[in-house]
Formats: sequence, structure tokens, C-alpha cells
Amino acid sequence: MSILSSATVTMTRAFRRNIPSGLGIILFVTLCLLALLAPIIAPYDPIEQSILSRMKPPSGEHLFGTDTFGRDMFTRALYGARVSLTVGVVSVLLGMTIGSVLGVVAGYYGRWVDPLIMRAMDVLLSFPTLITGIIIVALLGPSLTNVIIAITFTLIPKFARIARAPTLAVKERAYVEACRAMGFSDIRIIVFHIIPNILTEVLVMASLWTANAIMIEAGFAFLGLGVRAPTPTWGGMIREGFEHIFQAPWMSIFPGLCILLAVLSLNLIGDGLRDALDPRLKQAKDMG
Amino acid sequence: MSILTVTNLVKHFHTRVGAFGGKPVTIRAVDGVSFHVDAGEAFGVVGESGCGKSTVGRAVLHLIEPDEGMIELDGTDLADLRPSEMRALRPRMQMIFQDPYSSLNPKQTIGAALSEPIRVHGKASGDAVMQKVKTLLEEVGLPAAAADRYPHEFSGGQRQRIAIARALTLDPDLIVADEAVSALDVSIQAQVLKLMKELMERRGVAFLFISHDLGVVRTFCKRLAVMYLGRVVESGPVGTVFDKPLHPYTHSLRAASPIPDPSARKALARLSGEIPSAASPPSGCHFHTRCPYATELCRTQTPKTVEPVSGRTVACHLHDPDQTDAMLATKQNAIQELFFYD
Repeated sequence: MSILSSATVTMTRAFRRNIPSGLGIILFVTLCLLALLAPIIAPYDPIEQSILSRMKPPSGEHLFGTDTFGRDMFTRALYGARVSLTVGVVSVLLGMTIGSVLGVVAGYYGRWVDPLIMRAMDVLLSFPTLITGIIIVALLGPSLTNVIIAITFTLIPKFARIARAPTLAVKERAYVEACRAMGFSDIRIIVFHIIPNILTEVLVMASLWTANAIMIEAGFAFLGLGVRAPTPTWGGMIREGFEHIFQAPWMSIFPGLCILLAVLSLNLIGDGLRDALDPRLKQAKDMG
Repeated sequence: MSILTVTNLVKHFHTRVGAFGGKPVTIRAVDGVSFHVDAGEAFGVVGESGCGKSTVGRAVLHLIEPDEGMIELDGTDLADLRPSEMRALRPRMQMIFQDPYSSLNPKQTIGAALSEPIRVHGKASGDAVMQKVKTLLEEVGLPAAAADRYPHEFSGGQRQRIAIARALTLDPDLIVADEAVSALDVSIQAQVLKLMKELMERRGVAFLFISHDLGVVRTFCKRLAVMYLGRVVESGPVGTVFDKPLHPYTHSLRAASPIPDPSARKALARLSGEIPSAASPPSGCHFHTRCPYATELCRTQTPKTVEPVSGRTVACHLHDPDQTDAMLATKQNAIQELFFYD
């Protein structure tokens, strides 16, 4: 509880003084709401085809135009947001949890545990994201869950590294030694004294890597490795539009813009968090 | 009567120096240290930086595992304990650190930092926990409202008071204070020392007071041990050790610290040179490279620790009654000053 509240304090402090990151938060929350409320907001069905109104340019009737099957692009973009944001958020949450725990354990215990975990992470890291994705999808088949698993696997070693470095610094602080002198268990020390003090560093990267995860998912979908048609995803929509890019550019442009907005909002949030973490910047802002 | 007995404590660190893995080097941080602390007394450990005094403090608390030797807390040998027994014993000895800025978790309120050990060890429960926290804060001279605030809202001196309060949460018998006032301004130092002295008298808690500051040790401690390169060279009551040092090293330490009396006698022997590296300590007596009275014997043979007067020990060939070296005898005649036994 206290871990979350202290992180919240840091984050609110960051956003109160930083207009771009405030915009980022507003944008991201809006996207999440749109995705969540898609069944209510969406004017059409995302899957039902209507041959009569195929490849219509954007108009009042079809805000983003229609695709080759006459499906409303706006509706499909709304539903696509659900896939993209779910993949981004869930895979980062999973990757952050597993990776950070591994990194903290490696950094805290040192000795043989550290090289054991970190060399395993290096092995994972040596696979390019795309290769990992292809391997996992080839083994498990294309589905939302498997895309999440694939992206989670690429994120685990990154988070392990990000969490280990500050752990090495924090565990040398006198208050950790004081905890040991007071007879606290290792688990208590890690949960209440190490993790709260490295959490901000990890959260900055989490927000930036959520943007990455969304792009990776789009890339997978573009290559046909992701969620199967006809379920709409932004990456999949770009691929479908790509074949008709000169006749019907809206079919690629609008899902592309959606990815851009999601990635931009998360990057703005990440930058704001990073500014809040830099003690010199923080001090300057506190005085100003 | 003694709360802490340390016998022949040894701690070596193994590390590597140089490029490409380097060659293995053994740092002899603590090389056979023995002393005891009586219940409710303040025992000082003094020495230059790098002499191993902090390592002694950490080994006493078993924050680092000693290589050899015995540490007994109130008659219990700590090495015999299983991890769970060790954890149960930990409340009886606590630590205060040098740097008040890193000794408190920045993400924890003072109330949380003080109540955590009380809860973990079941010293109190429910409303009694916060009550105890408030009493402790008042005991170290801070308002009870401090419990709701974070460490960064306090000055160095206040933080050190909080660290002292935290050490007291578990009602310890022994507090290891590692350079506990060295990072503070002189005026704050005096206040914190006064507070620790009051606590010692009121609660009967013993202090293992590690410091490089002879003046502070003199005002706070009753007895002390002087360390040089991992060994205790001299120990005894503070007054006599400082006024009539037996070991040449103590003598020069004494001479190096300022005396607030312009007519005071000029120092007999000043130290020259650096403290040798603990990775390759000199043979024989570790001090022979800087000792003005060193003889061939000192270069080859490690001196025994002898007790020329009851309650005082010294590790120096000059004071060893069994030594019959001729060179030594002439030195002894020349420096009568070092032989005040009383």
C-alpha cells in the first residue's frame, strides 16, 4: 500500500508541474476510455461487412472512412485500441513484475544468484524481439495471449537490468544495514525497503516500454503474427490498408495516427516521470 | 558483568586488484581483536581510518560474518546460533550509523520507520505501538508530530536523533555507534552526545562507541581500545590511557590531537608516513614502520598483549617483561616516559 502511495506522490508531483506530461496523461486516459467504451461509442459493428459501402473516404457518416469490406474504420480503430492497449499494458505489467523481481533478487543476493539470473537474462536479450515473437507464435499459434507472452518475454530481461542497477546502490545504504541489524527478514527488506526506492526508476521505463510494446504488437499484427482477422488491431488495419495505399490512403493513415497518439502520450508521461526523478530538475522546480 | 565479549576476532576480505581479473589480495581488516564491554558502560574504539574499527562494529552485530574468533553477547556465542535464533537475538544489540542522511529510508515516515521494528518483534500491538513511537520521539527530544513526516524534512542532527530513537525501539542492551557524531557540526555533536549519555544513564544501555575523534571518546567513554591496522595496541580506562599512554602509537596519537593549553609540553613523538595498507601489513609489530623506538625484534616478532597494570593492556615489546632483548633494554632506559604504571 505504502509502495503505491509513495509512487503516486512522485507521479502527481511530476505531472502538476509539467504541462506536456499532463497532456500525455490526458491523452492516454482518453484513449483508454475510448477503448473501454468502444461498444457504446462505436457507430457500427467492427466485423460485419457491407460491400455496398466499401473503400469510402472519410465523411460525416464514416469518420475515418471504410475499408475493403465496407467496415467502418472509426469503429475498427476503437476496437483496435482495446487490443493494442491491452497488449501494451498487460505485457508491460507482466514483464515489469517478473523482470523487476528477478533483477532485485539478483542485485540483493549477489554471490552466485546474480550471475545466474543475469546471464539467463542476457540469453533472452540476445534474441531479437521479432525472432522471439515468431518463435513463440510458431510454437503456440497466433492469438492475443501469445502475443502478450512473446512481448513479455522480450521485456523481462530489460526490466531485470533496470531493476538490478538501483538495487545494487540501495542495498548498500545504511538503512538497509539497519534493517538487518533489527532482524528483519530478507523478504521484508526487499518489499518495504528496496522496492519502494527503485520503483520510480522502473516506472519511468515501464511507461516508455508500454509505447514500445504497442509498436511491437502493431509490427506483429502487420506481419500477421498477432491476433487473427477479422478482430481489428491497429497493426492489422495498416496491413489491410497498405495494399490500397494509393487508392484509399485513409485505411492506413488513421490506424497509424492512433499508434502515434498512444506512443506519444506514453512517451510524454515517461519524460515527465524522468524529469521528476532528476534531483537537480526537481530542486529547480521546487524553488521556482 | 560484561555484556559483550570479543575474543580474537579475525575478519579478512578477499578481493582482486588489477586489470583482467587481477591478482587476489587479502585485506586483513581485523586481525585478532579482543575486548569486552561491561553492561551499561560506554566502550570506545579509536584509530585512524582503515584500521578496522568499523569492521569490528559490523562483525559484533554479525552484519558481516567473522572469519575467526568468538563474539559473546551476555554469554551467548553468536556463532552457534541458527538464523532464526540470531534474528530473535538481534533486538538486544542495535546500531547507529555515521551518515544520518542514508540511515533512514526516504520513502518511510518517521512513524513507520520506528513502528516497524516494534511490530516485527511484537514488542507492542495496536494503539500501543504509536504510543511507544511518540514516547521514543519525545525521549530523544523531538515532537511527537515528527512521526507523520519524512526524513528529508529533518536536519542532520534531528535525523541522528531519529536514528537513535529507532535503535531504542527494541530496548537493546548494547548499541554500536559507528562514528555516530562525526558527520555532525560540533555544537550538534555535543547535543547528541549529551542525549546518548542521558540514555545510557537512564536505560542502562551499553555503547560500543567507534570513533576517530579522541576528544569525543574522552568525554563519552569510560574505557577504550586503540586500534592500529586491525589489531588492538592498547586498552584501558580512558583517563589513564590518554594521560599516560603506554604504547608509542597511542603516545603519538595523543600528541597529534590538539591540547587547549598553550603552555602544554611539546609532543614527544610525531607520526610520520602513511598508515600501511591492510593488504600487506608490515611483519612483526604492525607499527614498526612508523615507531620511533622500533628495534630489529619489532620487525620480526609480533608483540604479545600484556597487562602491566590491572585493567590496562598493551601490545608492545617494550612492555613485555619476558623480553630480554638488549636493544630493547637501551630503548626502555631512554624513554622512561612511556612507563608510568599507575
